[in-house]
Amino acid sequence: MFDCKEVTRRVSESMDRRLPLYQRLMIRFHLKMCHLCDTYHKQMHFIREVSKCYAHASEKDNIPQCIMDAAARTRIKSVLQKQMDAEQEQA
Amino acid sequence: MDKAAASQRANMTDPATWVDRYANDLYQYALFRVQQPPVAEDLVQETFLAAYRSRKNFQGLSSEKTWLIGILKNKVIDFFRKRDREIPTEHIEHKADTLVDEFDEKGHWKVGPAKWSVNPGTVYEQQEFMTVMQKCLSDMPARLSRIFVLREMEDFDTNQICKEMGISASNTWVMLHRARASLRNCLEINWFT
Repeated sequence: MFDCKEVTRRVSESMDRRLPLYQRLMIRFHLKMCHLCDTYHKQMHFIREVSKCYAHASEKDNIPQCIMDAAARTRIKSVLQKQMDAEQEQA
Repeated sequence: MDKAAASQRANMTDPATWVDRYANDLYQYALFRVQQPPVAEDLVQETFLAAYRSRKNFQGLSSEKTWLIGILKNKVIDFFRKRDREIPTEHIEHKADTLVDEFDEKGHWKVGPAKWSVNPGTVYEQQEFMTVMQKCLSDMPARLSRIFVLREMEDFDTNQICKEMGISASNTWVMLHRARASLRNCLEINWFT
């Protein structure tokens, strides 16, 4: 029998590889009996889902939630402009 | 200039407008992964400069933003590789062992997780939640937050992580477990209670 500590470890591992059948059954059985580990299991999937949302947020057309600091933006603009000017001078 | 090249160039906006158009999107992409605003800003700057230098390679097959994100993605990976070389591994692994043990000596929960009755698809749009999530990831030992980002944001599988971080598969699973457990604990303390 797995204890709760072991189950949390295996729950995480099951998110990265397919566990052997015996272990999958043991986990499923434990989660049915233990509401704390069942909650933990759901939280692990919550964390996965929310991370996925953050990972792809910039690729969508949503308005970004993170706004770059105005000073940094000005600095980057000026660095980029300098590079553009340098290239034009060379040409 | 042949016709194809001309049309490719026609699809590209004036580089002078890139910062206004894309800086926030790129900054957000970088910040979610590296967690430190000054590092994210530097990576965005390097991305614009690299994109400008290689603008002739822009094929126009994807959008300009997707192309820039592709460049930034590599900058983020390079940043982590460089940092890994600079931080001694044993220091990081030692820090990982100081995580809170949530179990008693029999392997039972001391307190146990609380119920989180929120939807991941809506909570991520809340600025406060995002701030907490980033703080939790940045408070983690560096290699733990990195492995978490590789797995859950970059969708790397075990083999790719082993190769990228130079660790075994079993070490990968242990570290991912620690990262998730640490993040869960931190979110619960700082957001859900």
